Amino acid sequence: MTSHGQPNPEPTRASFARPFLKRDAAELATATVGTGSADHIVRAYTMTGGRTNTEAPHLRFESMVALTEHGAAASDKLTFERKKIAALLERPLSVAEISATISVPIGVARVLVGDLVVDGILRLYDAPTDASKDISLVRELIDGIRNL
Amino acid sequence: MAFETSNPGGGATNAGGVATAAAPVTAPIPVKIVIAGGFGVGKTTMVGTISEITPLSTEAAMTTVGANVDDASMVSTKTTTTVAMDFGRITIGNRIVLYLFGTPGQDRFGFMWDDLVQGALGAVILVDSRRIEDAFPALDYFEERKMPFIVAVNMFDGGLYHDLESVRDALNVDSETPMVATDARNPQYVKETLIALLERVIHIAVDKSRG
Repeated sequence: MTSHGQPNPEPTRASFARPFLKRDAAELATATVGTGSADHIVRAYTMTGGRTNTEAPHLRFESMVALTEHGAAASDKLTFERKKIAALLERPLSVAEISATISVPIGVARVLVGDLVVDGILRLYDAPTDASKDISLVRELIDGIRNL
Repeated sequence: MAFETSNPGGGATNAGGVATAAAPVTAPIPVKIVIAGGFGVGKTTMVGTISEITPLSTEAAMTTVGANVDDASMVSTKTTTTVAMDFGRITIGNRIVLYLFGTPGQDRFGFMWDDLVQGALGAVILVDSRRIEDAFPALDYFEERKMPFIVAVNMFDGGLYHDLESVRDALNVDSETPMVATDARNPQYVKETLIALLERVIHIAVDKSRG
């Protein structure tokens, strides 16, 4: 992560006319700071106890989870958001769907879900690392969409 | 990481997202496509036209501070803004779950896109040919990241205001990039649009595998 001077919370409109063309490489690198890992999103929220989840798996917006058997057995003991999440997950849902359904920002949902995976309450279904290179998967998608 | 092998729910659900008893044999494979473009161009409409669930909205937090700030000062110096992001879902067979994410319309939230697009199959950049410049931030972004994308010109009032090649010129999009006319309200058009993107994805993947 690079140091890049003072943050500028309210840039002028003009600076966003074509934001990604006008930036040079150094500025582009800075533009990704704060979005490349979960920790930028975490600490503003007390729900997550101010923690970053360094042991938790990396979760994308579309990463899907479901309750484990252990999680189903333990769900009575969960509290607050953790309980709400467990209650949703008799079928697999994505982090984004969990976020929308229990009305917490997606960054918060990501931390909560990550913790529940670490605790064995939820299982994580891995998203393909780079689905765009999996030609047979993309073909399956095309056929599936055609037959909708 | 060891995960249990049993699957407690159905990855294949019926319209409306109601859980069914049908348990898939395999684990769901989540994938996503990003629908990008300017404010009011029809992104959420497009998502809603093909999604099996009513599009959901989630809040994403945006911060504008660098990462070189220590924990104690973080609280007082970071600025957090939230932005709404709409998305939908299509279950393909009993295995693939395709999420469609609409980017927030305001281009000043561009920084969030890195998180949003990570692992995406590609992007549909939706264009209103009367407000072509609204597509510039999305175009710049996906060109810069070399992510597969196509340009879809949304037909308002059932027709194109400008032909596709004029739009291509105005956007300065290279001749390789597919351009399609679409109607964000029409399921058939939306299906064709997504398929055009996926065919582009395959084309790029095949090119790359040939070196």
